[in-house]
Formats: sequence, structure tokens, C-alpha cells
Amino acid sequence: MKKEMKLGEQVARFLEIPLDTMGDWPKVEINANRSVTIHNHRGVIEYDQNIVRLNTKLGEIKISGVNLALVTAMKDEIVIEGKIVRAELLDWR
Amino acid sequence: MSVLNWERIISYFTGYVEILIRGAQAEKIINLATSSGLYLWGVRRIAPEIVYAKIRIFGYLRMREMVKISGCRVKIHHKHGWPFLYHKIISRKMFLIGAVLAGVLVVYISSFVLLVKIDGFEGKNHDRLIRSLRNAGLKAGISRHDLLLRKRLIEQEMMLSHPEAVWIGISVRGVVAEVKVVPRKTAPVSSRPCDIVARHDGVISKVVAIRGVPVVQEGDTVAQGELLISGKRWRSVPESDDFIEESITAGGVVEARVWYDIEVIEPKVIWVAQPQKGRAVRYRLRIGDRLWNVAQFGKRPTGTYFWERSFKRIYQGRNPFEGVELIKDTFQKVVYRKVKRTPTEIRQSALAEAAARQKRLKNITVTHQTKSWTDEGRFVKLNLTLETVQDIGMASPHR
Repeated sequence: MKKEMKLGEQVARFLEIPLDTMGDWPKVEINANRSVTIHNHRGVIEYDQNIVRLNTKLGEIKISGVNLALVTAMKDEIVIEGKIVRAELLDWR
Repeated sequence: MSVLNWERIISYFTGYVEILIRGAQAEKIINLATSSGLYLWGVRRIAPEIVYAKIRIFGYLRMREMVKISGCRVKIHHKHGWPFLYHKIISRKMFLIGAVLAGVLVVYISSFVLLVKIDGFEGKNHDRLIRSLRNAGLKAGISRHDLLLRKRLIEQEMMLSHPEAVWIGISVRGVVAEVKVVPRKTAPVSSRPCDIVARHDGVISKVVAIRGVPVVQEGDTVAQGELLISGKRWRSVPESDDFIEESITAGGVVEARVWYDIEVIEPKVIWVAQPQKGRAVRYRLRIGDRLWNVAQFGKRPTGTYFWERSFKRIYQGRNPFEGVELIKDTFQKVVYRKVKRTPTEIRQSALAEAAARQKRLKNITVTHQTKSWTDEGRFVKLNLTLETVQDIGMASPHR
């Protein structure tokens, strides 16, 4: 599995294809410290007013902040609003 | 419009509910819902084991299985959207019927003429016209459709029955029928005995006496007020061979050559206003009796300035005083300077002034004219003499 991903990445680099178009890699957009949009997530691990943990293909994303709310929750996209303090990538392959 | 806003609009029309998810594994139910394609929004944790969220009606119905799997409890907090509103309206039948009836009533009432307004006649003529219009069928309560069908007929009928009006027109604006009348302007017919006297000085060129005795003939020079056709005549009485004086209303045409003098004095040096730096424009809005400042550009100049005001009528109400208008005031700083005019300019200005004064002499046809220029030091004088042929007869009571 790991080899396939690496091969795919190598092919993409060789063909100069932008990495953000790579299949189901997670994509994180942070707008100032007010909102975070995460594409290609694989579910909510923990949701609290101060912490949101999301599972992705490559590892876990942890968003810390104050008054966090899930403005939109869809199958492959989630929008978190609130006062964002920290965004961490945990146990990434 | 972004995708999210579209989603919210679609949610309004499909209907959505605010739900409260109670339980330790609220995340599990969120994951189950999103992974099965349901759309959740506004997710907030409002207490340690309570999560608030919004979901569409169909999504809520599909959540039953997920509730069993996750072990959470889900409760509807509030309902939103068109299906719920529709249901609410349908269940309040009397309210719906009342609203529809009110709408129908307004439409029905607006199909009638509720007010008849007459513009142009006053006093007795006004009252008489109202009565005639009522007899012809135009009164408050007539349907607009009927009136529009018979409008032309009523107009013609009114013009025949009211010779004191030159023109009568009916227009329908909303629920108001406006009757516009143009009254006839006629000169009062003199029925009392009178003479014909001269209105102006002149030399008689034609005398046609219709009634009365002419006392002047062609070539005579007459002064203003002089008798032209006498309204007194002597009649013989066959029984006694006496003559008796009889007073009649004299009438006829007495044409004469008449001269008019126009004198124009033009200065050689004049003061001319020259615009300077310093201009202000102020806009104000008037609605009825109230006036508001809208904007002002520039500072109003001090000292000598020109002030120009223009009006722009935005809405013309039924009452002319109740209109809405934009008032623009322009203040332009000026300085007056002495300017010496050229002879051509002086002549042009004098001729223009003379032409303007000639226009004020109504109903004359100029047959001949002479001009003379005189230099009087600081001024130039123009004497314009106009010769015309006109009827100088004027009715005057017996002396």
C-alpha cells in the first residue's frame, strides 16, 4: 500500500502534476484564525467546543481552539468555525 | 452565490429540523450521517453530552437506524422551512380564507371609480357639470370597465350640453376619474348704446360702419379718443314731421395707419460679472412641506456671488404642493469689471432690445419701419418707428 502511494507520488512528480490533485489526500484550508476547511476526511474522532479531531487517509488532524462549531459536515468536506488556536498533524505516515 | 448558500436555500424548500443529540458518542452519529451522504450543518456542542445540529427532513427520517447503532437519543428541537409553513397555513383555514378574501376585495373595489374630480370649471358651471355627468352615468360607484367603454360618448355628450366649454376630456387614474375642462373665453357682447372711438392716433385708411353714423372719412387724421362712428342717429317721425334722437350700439371697422415709436438707450460702458474661484453646489430634497439637505459640494462663497436655483420634479402628486422634488442651488463667486463695448456690440444689443419690445406690441403687422441712431456721449440712442395698418375702433359709452 505504502509502495503504491509512493509510486503514484513519483509518477505525479515526474509528470509535474500538482500534488493537490492527488486522489484522496486530505486538504486543509485555514482562513485566518476563524475557520478551517478540511477536504477528504474520514470521520470525526472527537468533537468538543475546544478540540476537533478528524481522521484522514494519512493520519489525524487535531484542531484546537475556542467555541469550535462544525458549520458544515458532509461526506468529504467539513468546515470548522471558531477561534482557532492550533492545528496539528498527528501520527502521519 | 456559494455552494453553501445554495444548500441552505434548498434546505428551506425541502424543510429542515434543528435536532439535539444526547449521548456520549455524538461523533459516531455525525460520522454515520455524513458517510451515508446526509448533510449536517450548524453542529455545536452545547453541553458535555448534548450536540445541536441541523438536518433536512429526509435525513432526519434516515437517522433512525443510526440512532440505534450509536446508542444516542435524537430529539427535534425546532422545525423550519416551507413544508412546515405550508402545513401551518393550511391548518389555519380561516386565516387563509380571510387573506384571500381581503385580496379579492381590494381587487374588486379597485375596479370601480370611487372619486370624480373636475378640473377647469368653478361655481355654477362646476355644479351643473357634476349633475350632467351624473345623469350621463359618470358618478362614484361606476365600474372602470363601463366607464372606459362609454368614455368617448360621455365626453361628446358633455361638450354638446356645455357650450361654455371648448373641450372636455375624461381620464381614469386608478379609482379616480379626472374630468378636465377647457372653458371658452368669449368677449362680453355689448348690448348697451355706445360709440366707436379711436384707440390710437392715426390716419384713417378705411371706414366701414355696420351700425351708427360714420363721422370720419379716409385721409382724416384722428387723435386717441376721437369719435369715429356715432351711436346716435336722428329718425323722422312721419306723423309729426319731427326728428327724434335714437341711441344705438355703434359697430364697424375703422382702419388707420398708426405709428409706434420705440426708444432704446444703450450705455457704451457696462459692468460685467466674471466668475472667480469659489463655487458651491447644494442639493436639497423636498417632500411636501419638509426640506432636507442631501449634499453640498464646496464652500458657499462670501462677498459678491451669483445664486442659481433649479428644480427637478421627481414625483408629481395629485396635489401640486405635495410633490417630491430635488432642489439644486449653485453659488458662484463673481467679480464685476468695467467693459467698454464696441459700436457693433452696442448696435446689436439695441436692436435685440427693440425687437423684444416690438414683440410685446401684439396683433400688429408692420408695413414700414425707420431707424435712427444718435450718439449722446456715454450712451447711444436708437429710435425705431413702426408703421402699421390696424383697426383702431373701440366701443365707448355715449358722451
